[in-house]
This record gives sequence, structure tokens and C-alpha cells, in this order.
Amino acid sequence: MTRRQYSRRRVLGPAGVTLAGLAGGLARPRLVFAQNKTPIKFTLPWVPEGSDLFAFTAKGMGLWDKHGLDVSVARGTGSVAAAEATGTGRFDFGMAAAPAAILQNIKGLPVVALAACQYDGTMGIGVRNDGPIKNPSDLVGHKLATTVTSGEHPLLPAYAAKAGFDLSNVTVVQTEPNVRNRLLGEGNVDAISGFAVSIMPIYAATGVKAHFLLFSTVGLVNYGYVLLTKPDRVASAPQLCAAFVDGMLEGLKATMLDPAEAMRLFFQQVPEMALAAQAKEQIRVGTGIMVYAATNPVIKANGLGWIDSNAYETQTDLIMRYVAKPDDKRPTMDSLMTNRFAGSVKISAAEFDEAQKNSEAFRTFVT
Amino acid sequence: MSLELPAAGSPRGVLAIGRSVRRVRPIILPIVTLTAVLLLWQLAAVRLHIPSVLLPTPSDIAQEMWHALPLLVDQAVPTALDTLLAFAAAAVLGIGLAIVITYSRPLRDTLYPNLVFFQLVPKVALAPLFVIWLGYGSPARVAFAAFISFFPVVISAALGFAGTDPAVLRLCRSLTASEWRSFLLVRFPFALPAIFSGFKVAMTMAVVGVIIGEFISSQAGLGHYILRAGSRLETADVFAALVALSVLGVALYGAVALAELGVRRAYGRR
Repeated sequence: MTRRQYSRRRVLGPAGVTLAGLAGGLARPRLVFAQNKTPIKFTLPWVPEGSDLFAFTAKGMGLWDKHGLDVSVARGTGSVAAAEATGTGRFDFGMAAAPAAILQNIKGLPVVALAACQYDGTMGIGVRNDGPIKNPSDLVGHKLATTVTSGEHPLLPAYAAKAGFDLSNVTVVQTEPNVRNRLLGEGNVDAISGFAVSIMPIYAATGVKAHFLLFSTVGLVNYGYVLLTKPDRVASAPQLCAAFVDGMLEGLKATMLDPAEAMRLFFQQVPEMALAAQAKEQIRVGTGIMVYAATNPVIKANGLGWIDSNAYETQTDLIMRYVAKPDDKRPTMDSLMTNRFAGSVKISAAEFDEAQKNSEAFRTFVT
Repeated sequence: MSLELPAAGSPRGVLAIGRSVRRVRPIILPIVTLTAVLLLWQLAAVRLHIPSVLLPTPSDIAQEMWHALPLLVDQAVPTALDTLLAFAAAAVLGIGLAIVITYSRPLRDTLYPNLVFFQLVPKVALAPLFVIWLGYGSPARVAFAAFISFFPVVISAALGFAGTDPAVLRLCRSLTASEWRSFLLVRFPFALPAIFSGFKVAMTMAVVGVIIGEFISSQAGLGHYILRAGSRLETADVFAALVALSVLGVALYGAVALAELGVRRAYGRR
């Protein structure tokens, strides 16, 4: 039996390593070194599709794992429900269309937008390529199918005002979303209103020759998906918010630069999507339009996720005017959004050009 | 001679009070229960600071109803008209089919299994197709509501017609009454309770069918109002419309119950 000798070196060596480790741990974000990853519940705004595919890129590439997060991704049932589920704390983070998030704040269930994922929600008027509507003013005297629960519906008067036509001279028909999409496909109406990023992939995959006249082309600001959480989480767990946002935006960047690889990762995680006929074409077109909507000059200057506060304020004005009730209180911009966690994922000029090139073919769907 | 009322403490007095309590109990109990639930709801929503976008208080809903009452009445009119049309179609088709099933065994063998099969189909899934087939106007909503509400009428009426006392039918035949007279004077009155049971179910289903139809496609109506308010996160408005819809449903159901009373009295006098 050997007797253990306690020398100064023997005692101080491990102690030094321990102290160095502790010091290092304090200097860096705690989550990076967490042995057990922090479980996070995240809800998509809708079913897995091209517009939200980058969440699967982030998960598939292990980008959240790198930040010490174990993110479970749940499908959504609409932006309003996703924002509500995030606001009530049923999910730690959520993704929803900006108007839904703004409206929910107005109605007293606060959520904060942490990062913008798309700078154009692709709200617009869908028309057949061979139909009578070439310009917004051509809608006068024609039939427009719309869905009252869809985000663009309350903004139709604003669009008409901006585009310079009288909406009361358009026959507006309210239908459920699937019926609306079919009515245009079968030529029963001349136009529909909706989100190009959700509807155009279906048309492209089923051979309906159509395109969208975007609200943004007449100067109607409409941000697409934003990342959301409760305000108290921003205050109590800023590192967690930063880790989540960084992972998601890294996934978004990877999707913008290599959509094909992003699709491969998506089908790996959501194999049931590949079972549907024309699913690959739907996802391809949806991803292409999403990349188009995400590739905005603001990210070249400020990094991914950056929210232009002026644009967000303009959008809040629109919601207050056309959606909220007269006695609703306008929330402050600080309570609606923050750029505290955006901008750390950068995109170079060359990468920006690459992303633009990747979405080039899909611009014909949105004019 | 003066009328003497029983003293409260006497056995007759206790019996009289008991009878009065039993008489008013069906009215008082639901009202007391509803009031208690509304009070609890109000207290819970206020005490737990539940945002009104998630769960408005009953007082918020009452206030919203008061403000929106003219609009709600306006919206209730197309819903009520479509419901009545759908109910009428379901009643006529249902009773017609029940007569056919009752008098023709081959047709009963052919149609009955198919009727049961169609009843098991989740009809809500078919609602969008009615809009595709019949357009986005009232006919699609009426046809869908009639489609989902006619089944209870067929089954109830067929059971009612088949359940007629055979001895009475034999008596009719022995008196050389025609099939038509036997139907009109015996089978139909015998089947009335069953027919009206079917009508009551059909009326509630017609309301549901029209609301589903309005969710699928509409320009007005309480279903349209609910969708519109929901999309704007005006939860109190949604509840106000639901209350209006319940009142409409109860009124239409009550109309069927009154009609049953009238028809049964009319037959009873003969």
C-alpha cells in the first residue's frame, strides 16, 4: 500500500484548474457550458411549410444545441393562436405574423418581438396570370374572395386607399381559406386576398398559373413572421432569449444560403410532409418566397433579425386604424419590440447577393 | 261564506307550499345555477386578473351586448331565415322519405343502410364542398344545414309510422278505409310525438349547420360576426354573439315545441 504524499503542487494544481474553470464559466454565457441542455417549448405559427422551414434547419443542424438549448418545435394553428399561446406562457417562444403580435399587445396580452424573420409578410391580391386583373385598380367591378380571419382582410381598405381604387365597387366574398383558394383556381372569382408565401406554393404545385400583387408594392408596410416571447422572460432570462434568437437566425441564414440543404433537413424531420403529392414543389416554392421576403437590405446593414422601428411603428398605426377598436390603447414601441437580441448573426454582401440569387426564380410569383 | 286559506303550519298548508315549490323549481333552479356560475366567473376573472382577450367577464359581455344589440339583431336575421328554410327543407324531405320507407319494403331495404352510412360521415368535412357545388350564397348554407338536420326527422318519423298500433290499422282495413285515410287519420297522429322529437333535434342541428355554413362562406349572419370578432381578438364580442345565437336557438326550438302543442291539440279534438 502506497502512502499518498500531499505536496504544494499536488494540492494547488487541481485547485487552480477548478478556479480557472469557474472563472471561465462566469465570463461566458452560462448556457454554453451547461451539461444538461435547457428545454425550450417553441410554437410555429402554422403547419410546417416553406415559410417556417428555417426552424427545422436550426434544429436539424444542431444550432440550438450549440447554444445549450433543447428546443421542441410544435406546429401552430394560426398566428393569432401562436401569439396567444406565447403570451399566456404555454410556449416559451413563438413565431407569428407581426400584425397578430401587435394586435395582441393592443388587447392587453403582451408579447415582445425579439427578431424579424421576414420583412414582407407577402400580404396581397392573388390573381390568375390569364385573368382580367393586371393592376390593383382592375379589381373594380370584379369578384374578390377573402377570408375574414386572415391577417390581410382588415387591411383591404388601406390597400384600396393606397392603390387608389374604391373597395365598395369590388364584390367581396367571404369564404374559408381552402374554398377561397379553390375559387380562384377554378375561375369562380377574379381575385383572392391572402399571403403569397402560403398560397402560391399550392398553386405552383397544382399547376394554377397565378401571381400576387403585394400590398408592399403600394407602400403598405407588412412585416412577416417575428419571434416572440413574454416581456418578463426578456427581463429575467436575457441569455436564454439571446441563445434562442441566435440559433433561429443562424438557421434562417443557412436556409437563405442553401435552400436545398434546408429542404433535405426539413424532410428528414417531417417525413410525413414528403408523403403528400406535390409536397416537394410546395416546400420549394414556399421556401423560395420566404427567402425573398427575408432578404431585405436592413439585414445587410444591421444583421439578421433587426427590426426597423419606423416600419414597425407604421405597421402599428395601420393596426390601430383598421383593426383595433376606437377605445383601444396604443402600446408603446418599447413594449412591442426590441433589437436587443437581433443583429449578432451577420450576413456579408456576398452572402446577401447569394440569398437574392436563390430567391430570384420566385419573384415572378410576387409582383 | 268566506274562503278559508290553510294555515302555514297545518298539514294542508305544508302540502300546498310543497306543491308550489315543485311548480316553480324547474324555473328557479336553472336561474339560480346560471346566476351562481356567472358570479363565480366574474369573481374569478377579476381576482385572477385574466386578460379580457382570453376570458372577458360576464359584465364585459353584457356591456358589449348592449352596445352591439342593433348589430346583433341585424346579423341574427339572415341566420334565422337560413335556419328556417333549412328546417323546412329537412322536415319535408325527412317526412317524405320516412313515408316511402314505411310503405315500401324494397325501398326501405335499399335506403335505410345508406342513410345510416351517410349519418356516420363527418359532415362538417363536406361543408366546403357545398360552397364549391352551389356557390357562396345562401343556397349552399341552407342545403348543408338541411343535409345535416334531415336525418333525425327521417329516423324519428319512420319509427313513429312503424310504431302505429297494428290493431287500429287492422280495424281501418276491416272498415275498408283507404291507405291514404288510414295514414292521415291513424298513422300520422300516432307518429306525432316521434315526428316532433325529430323536429326538435333537427331545428338545433339546422342552427348549427347554418353557423358552420356561415363560417365557410357568408357576407352576414351571426357566424360571420363571430369569425370577424374572433379575428380581431374581440373576445367579448364573440361571447355576445354566442349569447345571441343561443337566444335564437332557444326561440326556434320553442317555436317547434309550441307547434307540437298546437298540432297535438288539433288532432286531440277530432
